[in-house]
Amino acid sequence: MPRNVTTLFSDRHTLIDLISRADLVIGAVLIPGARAPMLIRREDLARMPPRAVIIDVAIDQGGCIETSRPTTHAQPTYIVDEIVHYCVTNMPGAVGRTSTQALTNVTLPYILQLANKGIDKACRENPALAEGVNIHKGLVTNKAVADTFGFPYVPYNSI
Amino acid sequence: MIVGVPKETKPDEYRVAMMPVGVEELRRSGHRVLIQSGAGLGSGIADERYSAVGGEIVTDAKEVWAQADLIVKVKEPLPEEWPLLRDKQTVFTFFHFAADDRLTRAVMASEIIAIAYETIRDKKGTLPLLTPMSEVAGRMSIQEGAKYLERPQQGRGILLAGVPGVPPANVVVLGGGSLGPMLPRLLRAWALM
Repeated sequence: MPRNVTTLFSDRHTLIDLISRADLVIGAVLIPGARAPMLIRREDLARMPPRAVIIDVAIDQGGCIETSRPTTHAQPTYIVDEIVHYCVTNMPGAVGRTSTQALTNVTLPYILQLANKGIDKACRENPALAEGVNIHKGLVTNKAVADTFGFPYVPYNSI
Repeated sequence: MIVGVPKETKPDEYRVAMMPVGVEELRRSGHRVLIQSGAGLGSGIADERYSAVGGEIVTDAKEVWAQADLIVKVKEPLPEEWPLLRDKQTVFTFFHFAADDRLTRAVMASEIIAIAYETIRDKKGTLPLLTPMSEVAGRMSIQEGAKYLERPQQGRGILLAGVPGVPPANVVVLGGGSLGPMLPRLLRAWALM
């Protein structure tokens, strides 16, 4: 870690202490496939400096702040309890020339596998692709998604 | 196989799911590739660049969805697109199902195979298709944060990086998601605390 960065164990007390002094909070919590955990509650906003900014990058997985709701590039921010919220769900979409290249660099090898081998064979031969199958003909094949909504989980390998 | 690339429908979404090099590679293996007219424009790619390497330009999104065995997209299908999903079709895109129960139900009902970029996980346990977009969003989160800290943007009126003799903004990053490894480097680059 660079000297200007401190990592802290995440618990409620540390979090409240930190955000009470924060000018900018970046929400970047990820649990792959699952809804993002809610770390900042509405009542916590009152502890933050007025007009501090929250950027909730986890918004496309539901966001990690209770008061986050999806916004667009046309109207990126709104204010709740004196705190500026920025919750654009497709941030990379704003810089298409960069993002398209960065995305397609990594997707193309998988697209070629799917097309050349056929969907099922490609997924069976490449476990990475099989991990990507979230829903297969009506069955939920990703455990985090199934658990989020209470649907039965059907492992892809069992189909 | 017929691979289809529709134009993205989300507001201010300027990405496209395939560049001309992808069309060329697929054509070389004998596949057909349908590109919706204008799909690449937001990223500076004109239809002609796709057709020059064998892509078939299709005017109507409905036709792309109706013909393709494999749909390649960027963002999740929006409600207007749900009626276009066909059983036996595979859709390869970002879905983020856990954030949207209506989308989840619509995709279940459609009987498609939904392969989500964000949960592809390689042997090392990394998320190779999510990471590059997190890298973009992470970098943007700093510059957008800087912008919205400006008073006319409703922020506190603090210059993110400070100036000599005046401290920079206090930045708190929650979570070590896939932004994790990259943010400290960025924060250092901006001389932030």
